[in-house]
Amino acid sequence: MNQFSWLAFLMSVVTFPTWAFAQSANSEGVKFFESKIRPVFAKHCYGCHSTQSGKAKGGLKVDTSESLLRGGDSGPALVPRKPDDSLLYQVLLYRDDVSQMPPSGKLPASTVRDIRRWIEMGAPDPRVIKPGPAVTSQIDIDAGRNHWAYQSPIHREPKEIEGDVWAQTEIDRYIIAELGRQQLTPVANADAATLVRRLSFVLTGLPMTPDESRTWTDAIERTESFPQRQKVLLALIDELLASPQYGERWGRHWLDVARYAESTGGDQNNLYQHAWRYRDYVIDAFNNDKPFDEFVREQIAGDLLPIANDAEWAEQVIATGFLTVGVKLVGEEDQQQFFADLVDEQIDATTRAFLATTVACARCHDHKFDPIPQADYYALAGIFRSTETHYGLLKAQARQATTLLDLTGMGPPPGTPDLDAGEYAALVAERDQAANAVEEAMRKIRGGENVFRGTLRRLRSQRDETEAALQAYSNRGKPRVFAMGVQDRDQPLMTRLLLRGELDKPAQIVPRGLLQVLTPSGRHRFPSNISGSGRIELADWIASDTNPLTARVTANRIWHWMFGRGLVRTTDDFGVAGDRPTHPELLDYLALRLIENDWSVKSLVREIALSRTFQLSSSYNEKNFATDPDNRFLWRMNKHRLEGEAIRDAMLFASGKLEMSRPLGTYLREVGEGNVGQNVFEPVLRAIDADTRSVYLPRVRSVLPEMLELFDAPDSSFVTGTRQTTSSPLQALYLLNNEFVQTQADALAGKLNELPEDQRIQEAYLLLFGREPTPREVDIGETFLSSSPRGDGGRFTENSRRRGRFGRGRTESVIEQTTTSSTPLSAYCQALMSTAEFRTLD
Amino acid sequence: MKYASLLMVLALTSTTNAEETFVTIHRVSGNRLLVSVDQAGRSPSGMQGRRGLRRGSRTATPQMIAVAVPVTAKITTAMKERRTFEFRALGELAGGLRNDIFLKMTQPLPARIVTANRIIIEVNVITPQADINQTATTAAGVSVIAVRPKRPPMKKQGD
Repeated sequence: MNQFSWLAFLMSVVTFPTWAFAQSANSEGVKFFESKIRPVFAKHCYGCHSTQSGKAKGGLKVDTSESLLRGGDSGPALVPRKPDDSLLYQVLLYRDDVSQMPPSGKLPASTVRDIRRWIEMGAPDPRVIKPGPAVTSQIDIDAGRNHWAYQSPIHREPKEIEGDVWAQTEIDRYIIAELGRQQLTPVANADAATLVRRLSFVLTGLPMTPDESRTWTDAIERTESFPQRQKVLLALIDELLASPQYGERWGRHWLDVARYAESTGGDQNNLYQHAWRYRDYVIDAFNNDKPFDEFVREQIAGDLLPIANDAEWAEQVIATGFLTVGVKLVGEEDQQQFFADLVDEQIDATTRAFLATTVACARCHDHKFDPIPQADYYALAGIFRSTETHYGLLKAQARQATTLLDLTGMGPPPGTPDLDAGEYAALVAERDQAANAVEEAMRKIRGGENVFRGTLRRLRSQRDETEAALQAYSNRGKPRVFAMGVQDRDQPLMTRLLLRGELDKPAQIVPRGLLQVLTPSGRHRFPSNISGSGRIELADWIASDTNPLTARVTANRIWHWMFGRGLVRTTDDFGVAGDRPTHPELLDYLALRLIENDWSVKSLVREIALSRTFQLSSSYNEKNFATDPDNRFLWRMNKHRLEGEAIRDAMLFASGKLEMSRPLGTYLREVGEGNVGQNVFEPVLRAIDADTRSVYLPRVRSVLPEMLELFDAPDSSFVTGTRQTTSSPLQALYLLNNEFVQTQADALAGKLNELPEDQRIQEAYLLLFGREPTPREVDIGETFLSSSPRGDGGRFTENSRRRGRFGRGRTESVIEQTTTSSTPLSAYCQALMSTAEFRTLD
Repeated sequence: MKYASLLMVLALTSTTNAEETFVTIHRVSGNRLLVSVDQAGRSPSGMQGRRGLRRGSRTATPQMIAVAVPVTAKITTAMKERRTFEFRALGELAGGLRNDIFLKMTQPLPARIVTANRIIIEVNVITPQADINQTATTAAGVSVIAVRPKRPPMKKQGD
């Protein structure tokens, strides 16, 4: 056998079944093994190939019979009764054409003869110790399949409650059955005004105008029967679902899950100038009610899906931005470490977003709670390792920069306006100047002069930045269309399991595949001849009707976005460590309804919104509260605070300053490329101001817009299905003192000033709270406005403002700033905007 | 090329620790590399490489040897750090020795071969495309900030 063919030969060696080998371990053979063979293994082999040493070089261990038969990376080490086919024996011969073992030198001829004889005897071996868990998993996958979330959803009829007249929809029947079991009774329906405001915020994230609010409230109140009321509500829901603001609201929800941000985060925090295309894709997908299974497929493998035209191709490539917008340590020196972390982040995002499963926990060891062996992690890693991620950045600013994807001419709109000839020429001149500056610096260095390293770095950064700015346009000044996304590599990358997740501790090669616990037994690995990375197979598997998790996880997220809490509270973890569903039958029902309706999110939203459960008031009931203080069984609606985005948008909406149209590209365009703190500075980012909806504001990790940060917008480091809700004095101080809030209050006061005096308070309540004020509230408002220094709504004087509105201790500059534009009416509006009611969804 | 006559494994010390040898790859065929060992296997580190050459040593013909690379070996690109000349392994090459870098090789490629127990476990190749100056400009002088995506299949009628 020559050197060139021995590997191929070993690959073709037939492995004998383990049981046959075990049967031959007779007592004589065992005696021979113990006296002649085991000492040799212990002395010469265990150091590098045993569980005790923690090493499995070449993926091989020799401390159990199973390990020898299974072999390592070069195939089985042992073929019982066939020493010439056994690699274990061949390497001992110290021939030049195969590996030579042990490395310390050839064993004595008598020992080699003993090994040969032992193999001819059938390799009797009493060692039945199982291999260490670091290489072979101890997880019982079959037992793990019994977990509730890993079983397919099934339709189960809710228990009938005798004489029940409360339940009006299928969803209600599941709820009332559970309420009955818990001896709870649902509270009354919400009043019409509350319901209208609730629907408006839940579906669009915005309040209604007073006219719209009045119209819909009256229409609901005029109905005389439940079917009539449902008909009116259906019209309202459909109108809201059809508005473009629905996609902005629900797209924002998904962007939390997709950990969308416009910077890398991590040590350098470089800006992603092209992430906004993924943001807009998500918003459009929700507005167009793209079937959710298609939405999933496109985000994982959109670049590989069949297309009808170039526009579809571009859209699907942009969808794969999902895999690119995560946190990246782009300053990492070790490219392989960076790549391993990138793949880990992609696995984590994909499995948590779509499957609510924490697969990334299995990077270093078997999952501690869920039936996910480490090999499953590396099976998925093989898929993402065979994928190229294009997220851009400049190499002069980030060690691990990549190229972007060029979609020019394929349909998507450019993110920047055209340049005229003068502007283009200026860009060329700027680029040339920057390139010359680098050349000059290099000439100095070559001539022996000293140039500061920092200066050189800055010059190089400018050169690349100006070059990139120029390349973003054609030579006629037309902007090119770039996007972040992924592509398959030309060929897949082999993937090894890494002991403790460490790059320098590779163990066995793991073929690409899926999670064992979610696939039929023995069908979790891809065949070796699949073409491509395997992403398309992964996407199909996740988006399949038969995947027990995807539809459930999605239905639970939808429920969470509507009620403020999911039926499974841990929206991103359906594993053993996560919560169990409070209403498992209802969750299955919703999952099946989602699938039945071709994965239409709008259909499911409509069905839930029409349920009586959704239309309950949030009122208190002492008896229910004693049994279920956390409202787990939904005896009332959850009252919860609006997200920062909704609060900000509602303020802008009330002031009449909200810009409803989508801005062109990203506001980061003005800032340019760079990393925060080095080329781009936080005050500059924070100074970006726009009156568009909050979803379009710059989303730079660690530098979120102040208001969103204060009201618990996630930093997007991880998949975030459930936002935290905190209360801090900073929130109140912001509402009372921040210029943005004051500006909106002033603008609202300006609007109200145009109305007759007796309508102002009523209009303000309708705009801000979606309801009419009570007589007491009107009285308080009128008293405040009439007792101000200029009761006609005139401006505050500096002194009165200090006493009446903000108290003492404010700095002069702020006083000057606020006293120039505020009136008692605007102070009144600001007070209303600062109330808990304004930022609470009832 | 008569590989059989050139066939030999790299002369490396017999230790269990990983060893590295700096070579120049002249040809790749299947899983075999035809290489010459650089300066007794040491990394030619910038100034040393320039100044350390003695007269006559330039003209010495390097001895070619052939080595077989196991299919399990990791094949990566590599770079020399600009200031320190430190050799740094970069990302893995898809397809290993079947990557275009080897299939369409037009000039010898400097590389590092890492072995453990006399088996090659890693080959790190410095390619002309590899970035050595932290710039978007390639060795060919072209700045590439975006690439066209690969075209997927068209939908069939009825899809």
